[in-house]
Amino acid sequence: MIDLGVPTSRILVVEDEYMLATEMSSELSAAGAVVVGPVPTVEQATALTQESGAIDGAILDVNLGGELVYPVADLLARSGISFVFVTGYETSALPQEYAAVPCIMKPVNMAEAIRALGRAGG
Amino acid sequence: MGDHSDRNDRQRALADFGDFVLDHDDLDEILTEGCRLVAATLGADLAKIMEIERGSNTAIVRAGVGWHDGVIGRARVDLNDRSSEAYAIEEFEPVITNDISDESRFVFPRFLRDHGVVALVNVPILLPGRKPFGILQVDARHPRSFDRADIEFLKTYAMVLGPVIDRLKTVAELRATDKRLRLVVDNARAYVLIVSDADDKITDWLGGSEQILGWTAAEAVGQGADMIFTEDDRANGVPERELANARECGHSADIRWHLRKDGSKVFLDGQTIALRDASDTLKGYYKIGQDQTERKRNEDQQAFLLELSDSLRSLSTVEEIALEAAQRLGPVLNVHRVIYGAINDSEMNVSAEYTAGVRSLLGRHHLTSLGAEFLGRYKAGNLVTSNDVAAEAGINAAGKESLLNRQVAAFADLVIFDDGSIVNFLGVQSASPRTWSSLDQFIIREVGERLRVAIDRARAEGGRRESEARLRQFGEASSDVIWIRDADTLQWEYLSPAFETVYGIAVEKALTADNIDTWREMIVESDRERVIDHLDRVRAGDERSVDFRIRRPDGEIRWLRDASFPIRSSDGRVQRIGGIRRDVTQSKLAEERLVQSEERLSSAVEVGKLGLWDWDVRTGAIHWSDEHFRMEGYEVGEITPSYDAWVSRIHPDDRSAAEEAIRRSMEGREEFAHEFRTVHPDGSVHWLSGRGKFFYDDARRPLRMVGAMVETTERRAWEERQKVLVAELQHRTRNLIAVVRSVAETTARSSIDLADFRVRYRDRLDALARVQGLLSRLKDDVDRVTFDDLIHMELSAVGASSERTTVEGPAGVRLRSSTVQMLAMAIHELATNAVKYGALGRPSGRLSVTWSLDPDEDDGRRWLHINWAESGVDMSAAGSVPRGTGQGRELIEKALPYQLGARTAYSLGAGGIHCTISIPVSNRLEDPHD
Repeated sequence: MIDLGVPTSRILVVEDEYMLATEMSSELSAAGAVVVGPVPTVEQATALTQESGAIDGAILDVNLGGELVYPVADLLARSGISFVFVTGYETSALPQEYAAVPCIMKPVNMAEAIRALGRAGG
Repeated sequence: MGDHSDRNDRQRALADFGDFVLDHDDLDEILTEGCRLVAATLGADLAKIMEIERGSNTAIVRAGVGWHDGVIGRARVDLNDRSSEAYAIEEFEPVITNDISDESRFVFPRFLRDHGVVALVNVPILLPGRKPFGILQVDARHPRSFDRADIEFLKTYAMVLGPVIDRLKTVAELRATDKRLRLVVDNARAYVLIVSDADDKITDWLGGSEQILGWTAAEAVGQGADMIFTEDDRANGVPERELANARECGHSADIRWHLRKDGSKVFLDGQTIALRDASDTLKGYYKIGQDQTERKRNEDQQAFLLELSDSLRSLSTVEEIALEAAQRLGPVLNVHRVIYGAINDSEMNVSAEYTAGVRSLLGRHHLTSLGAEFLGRYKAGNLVTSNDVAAEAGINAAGKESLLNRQVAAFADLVIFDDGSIVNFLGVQSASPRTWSSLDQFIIREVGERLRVAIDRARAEGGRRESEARLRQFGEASSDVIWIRDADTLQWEYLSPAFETVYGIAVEKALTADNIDTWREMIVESDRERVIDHLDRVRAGDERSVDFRIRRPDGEIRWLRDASFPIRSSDGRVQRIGGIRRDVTQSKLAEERLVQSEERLSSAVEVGKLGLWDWDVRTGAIHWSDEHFRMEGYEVGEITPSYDAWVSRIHPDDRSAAEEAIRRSMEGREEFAHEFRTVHPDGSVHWLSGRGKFFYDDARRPLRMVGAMVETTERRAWEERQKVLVAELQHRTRNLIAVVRSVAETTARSSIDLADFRVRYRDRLDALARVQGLLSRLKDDVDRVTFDDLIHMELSAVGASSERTTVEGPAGVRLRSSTVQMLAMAIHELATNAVKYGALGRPSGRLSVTWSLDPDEDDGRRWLHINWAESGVDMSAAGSVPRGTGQGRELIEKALPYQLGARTAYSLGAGGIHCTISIPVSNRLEDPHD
């Protein structure tokens, strides 16, 4: 169970790989969350964030087909929405300002990602 | 010539001669007259009288007639065997030679023949007692036979001559004595002449006795002659001894101080002669003595002063010297006190003295009572005297009183030193008035002079001894060799103990004779000339240094550095040379090593295109190689290299770290190794990697830093790229694994059983692998997989035969790498389905894959339109049930649009599957991550 302090968590998934996006989404659903997205680009993610109702958390793939997800991260951070990164790169490659953000390496262990998200939110 | 007349003549001659003798006293006159008469009487040309001189065994011509000048009194005849004179004397007989040329018995003197003498007669003259006196000789220029009458005449004449000569000689002698005596008496003023009787009682008081000794004749006569001797001499029996000596030897020397009537002394140099009569009985004594008091005094003075000089020379302190001078001077002058004192202001300090019967004046005294005017007389070279203090006009009453209180009634003070504030003087003092004679003053000045010289010498020597001691102390303490040589001989005079340590030879051994050559041998040959030249220059007056090597006896080579200087004597001549010599072997070796390093470095520069620097830490001067300038972004030689010039080009973020690294290296004595960025004026950033090392002097101070830099900008950039590539690879790999996992999941979900799963999973994995193969074969960042690569690979992978397949479209359509995988997967699904259920699985089936590249109207990106059309497949038989798992359809209808932004359409047509895929493809080459 995702524990984000709300009964039903609405989790934004931003991932450009279709297969991974669908996998993460199905696992989140299986865990009881409502998946917002998944979306493959910063543009779509930004739009979703602004349009949708409350988002309780987000899982952000760092590299979206060459585009970096940080603008979405910043937007979420400003809104006080917790999130975690998933990435195929070394976690140390992240910029300083995101040093505190939990970063899960691919292939993603969803349970770990969910736990991290819960911690980030708490 | 008739006999008669001859005889008469001869008789007359004798008679005339007799008269002549009676009237004349002079022997020579008489002898000459005798010759004349004889010659005339005999009608001879020449005649002479010769006197025998026994001592020379010759006869001298005493008188004569007819002879040339210079014969009488001078010419001699040798009285040897061969002379006729000697013969005549010995035989007591006349000797006749009628013709010399015929005469074989005798040899005749030359002067006879010079006078043309041919014939002669020699007749001996005998004095009473048959004592031979000499010869009467008559000579003729022509041969002549002297007859008997002639001979008899001559014999008679000679007989008369004898006694005459004798008497006259006695008279002459008496007269000579008289003369002498008269001379003596005339000069008697300078002589004491005393005659005393056999008891030595004065009988005659002659000559200058009264003047010299003081007593009058009346007072002296009758007194014992010993009264003129000093008390001491009398006490020691000197008079008696002299008399005894005189009696024994005839005379006795009397050279001593004698006594005057007034008690003063007089120095007499003379004799005491014993007077005896004919029978040898002692009649009395004759004393004669010359007043040599002045001379004696002078001699005594000289002796005194010489002794004084000698004794002063052996003393080394001022106190000892002053005391010695005072002690010697006092008795000589016969004074009560002699002091050596110093006057400073109006205070006197007496440091040495001689006293005889008076108080000591050693110590301090006030002289204010004497007054400034009087004290003002005490200036350099002055002799201040007073014969009678009480009556002295220049001293006031108070002064007189203080002097008399000190038992100074007369004084003679000689100023020895006057340096302007302190006056040193030698003070001669008498407790009773005394007139300082010129002799006294002379002695005081002489003593004063010697005193001054001795004190000067003692001070100088004391100073010299002190400096020698200091030099020795310094020499002993110093680890440098301190040496002094004689400038002329170059022999070592002084070597400090450090010599042994440096040279490996004992100091004593080195100081032995002829050390200049042995030392020269020790110098390494190639340095020898330089060193000798250096020494010559120092001897000429230069101060200079030289470095040179020696070979020690143990074979070791050492570098020495010598700082030499001339040492001049007081006249400015270079008398000695000296120097300080240090072993600089370590420094030299360090220098050499440094030079070698430099050489190595220079060659390294040639080879390596290195940016070199050579930093003289002491002066701050830095040398940069040409490359170094360029690395810093300067033109070669554009600026003067400096530490600041280097720092200013360093990237601001790297500056402090770089400077810190230098400091750490310098202080920690570690190698410098540091990478940093420089920013060039054009803004370009360059990474430089520098390595360097500090060199230090013996005192561990940094002397120099040498280092080299290489530019690592490219390497770093390459490393960056590598990093990026590796990260990218990691990313892809992770992604791939995630995809593989995902495929496994989805395959598993739609598999009937494990066998089914295995087949289908394997198949999909192979497709993935193929895509990876395509991607990994990309040559570089800009290379891309093309669509035709992809479609051909997939179709051949499923074994699609070319008869039934149509593949058409432009080659070289580049696909973004992120799209390749997904598109390949989609195509793989289409192809697999076509094989299993579609056109590629039936003989009648046909597949057509066509594509085209069109620009999209909307956004200017290019679109690839792919058209997959299967035909010849009977769709009616299978119904409208979807075949397969539908994963392919999902990929095409959902995944491609999601992931690639594709527009797709999938439909089941009458002859089979018909699918269109339109995906954006980029023409841009710049994006390496596409």
